Amino acid sequence: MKVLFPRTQKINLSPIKQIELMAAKIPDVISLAQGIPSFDTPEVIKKATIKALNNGLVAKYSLTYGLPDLRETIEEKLAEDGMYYDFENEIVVTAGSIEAITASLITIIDGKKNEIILFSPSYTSYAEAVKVAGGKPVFVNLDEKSGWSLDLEGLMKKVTANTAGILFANPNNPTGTVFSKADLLKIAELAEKKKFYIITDEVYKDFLYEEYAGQTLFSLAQIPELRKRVIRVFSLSKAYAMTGWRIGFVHSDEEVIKEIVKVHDAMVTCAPVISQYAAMAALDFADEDMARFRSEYARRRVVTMGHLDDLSDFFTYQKPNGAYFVFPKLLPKRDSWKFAYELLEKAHVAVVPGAAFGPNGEGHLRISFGRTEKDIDRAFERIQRYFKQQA
Amino acid sequence: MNMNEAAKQIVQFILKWLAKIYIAKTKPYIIVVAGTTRRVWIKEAIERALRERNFLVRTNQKHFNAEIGIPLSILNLPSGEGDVKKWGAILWQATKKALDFRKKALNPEKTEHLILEMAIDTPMDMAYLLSIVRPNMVVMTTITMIYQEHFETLDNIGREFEALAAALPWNGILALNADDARISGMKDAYKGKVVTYGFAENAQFKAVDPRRTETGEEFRFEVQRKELESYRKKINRFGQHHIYAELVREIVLDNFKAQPKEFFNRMAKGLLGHE
Repeated sequence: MKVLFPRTQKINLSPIKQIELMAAKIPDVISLAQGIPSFDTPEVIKKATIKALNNGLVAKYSLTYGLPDLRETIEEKLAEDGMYYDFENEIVVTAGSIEAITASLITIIDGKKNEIILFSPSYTSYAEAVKVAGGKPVFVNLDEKSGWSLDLEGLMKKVTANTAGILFANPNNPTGTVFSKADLLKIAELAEKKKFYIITDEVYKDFLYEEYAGQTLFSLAQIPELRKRVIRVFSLSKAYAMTGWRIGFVHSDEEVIKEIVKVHDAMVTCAPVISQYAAMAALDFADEDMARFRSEYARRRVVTMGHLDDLSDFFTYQKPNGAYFVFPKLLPKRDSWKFAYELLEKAHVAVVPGAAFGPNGEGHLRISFGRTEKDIDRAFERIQRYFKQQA
Repeated sequence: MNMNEAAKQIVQFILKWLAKIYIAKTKPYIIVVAGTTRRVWIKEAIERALRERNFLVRTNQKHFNAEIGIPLSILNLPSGEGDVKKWGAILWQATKKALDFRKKALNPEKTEHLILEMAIDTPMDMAYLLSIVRPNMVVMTTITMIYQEHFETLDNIGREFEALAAALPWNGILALNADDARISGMKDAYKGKVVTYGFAENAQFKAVDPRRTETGEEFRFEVQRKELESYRKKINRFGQHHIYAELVREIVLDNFKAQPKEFFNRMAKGLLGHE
């Protein structure tokens, strides 16, 4: 029998969304699954957006690259972080980071140069975005014992003549790892030598803890000599509690961006203009709100780790230094999908099975501490009760 | 008109008049940067140049560039945002600043060079801003595809900005981007000193042969003084707008000579802390 849509048959709906769909059917469920901040978009952003709306500024397309005012603001913000990019030719405003990533992947994947290296574990949608772009995801395991850090030898073994690029989040989702400068420079060295692109997704850059607290995240995009090799993606979703606004941006050297913008134009024409006005207000006026989110996440991280410590017979984990996820290992080793289903059905707590983040994620769960402290406490009470019932 | 709008109009009216009094009292040298893009880098470049020349310089905070922001910038006050209490305090401070006629407040050695970005959203916005403050120098950047919603055409935006040129005094300076036809066309709107900058052949402060290096932009800077001066410059930033900003910096350095005497006077009187 002829298979309908053979290409998309190979693409999966994000397991995070699958879990959320299942969770939605269960009354009184607590979800620590999706990486949605518990906060509402800051007032200052909403007010500026309403003003733009009422002034009749949002009904028409913007330039494909995005509103010039917004891109100017982005250039300024990047400069504050030591990254120098030209707002006129090197920054494109996108419909969230996943659009930026997909457009970048479509740009760099070409013919036999179709392999994209992903860390395992890494964000579930990366592998699907690679497939959408006609590429092949190639997983490189992170080393759990050393805090889910980079295994350079493992990476070197996976780089071939077909490698088009490497895509990773820093800090990493789901492990919260902040990759060291030394490791990132090794990736850059390899990319230069083997001529592949680096797509660095830094949506969680503003949420750093412990030894990284108060520091600016090191990015390969800060090194001018690497600007033709590095494509950096950022989204306002997490930093400014704007997941529903679908707004982000991508920047790189002009010679790379002028190709990415063609894909962006074909896919979305331009990012939603109303969200572009919101983004402008966020970048200009909402840093205090973001700092408030950061300190709240820092507190929730400690609370979450405390709960996991109380359940040390069932979980072991590496402390996350960034983002708002922890990725505990199940003790004894279990099938993560089976366990997540069971937890959802019996304890009414939604978490994401580790296998969703790549083969090396099996036997783990992703728990988000982006939710409220009350939700976190209630979810862990239920998990504790579940384990007691199992005993 | 709802309550919020009515309150805004009242605040706007009070701030406008307090700002006008403050300007009449302190007589700052006003440099206005206007255009649809690139204002922020031009403003920074002017600030750098004036500081190099030892002037007291102040610029408007980002986005304090319209009907409420401009008076706040002139009075060097923050915004009350949506907080009525904060606005009350700000209006009180504004009144104190504007109506302080003590000798200390009128000290000519504290006279500032005030760099203001001006933005427009709708027709007649510029006329309103000019009713608050009139420039001594105007730097025009670009007229590109934004703000079109209320202007219908870019030519209409150009005409709105032209009001700035017409507002200059006889001894003012009008700096125009020679690469933007709508901007360079404004030269006829002013009879005083007009300086042009850009890549165009006829630009007085000219960038030639731009090249991008691994660490930024590089270009040949040319200016006709007694003789043609020409040398290469390097900027550790990417994008042509930084070249334009550098050209404007040169224009400011050329037109504002160093003030060592005033600087040392201020230093001796401990006034440098006000910069």
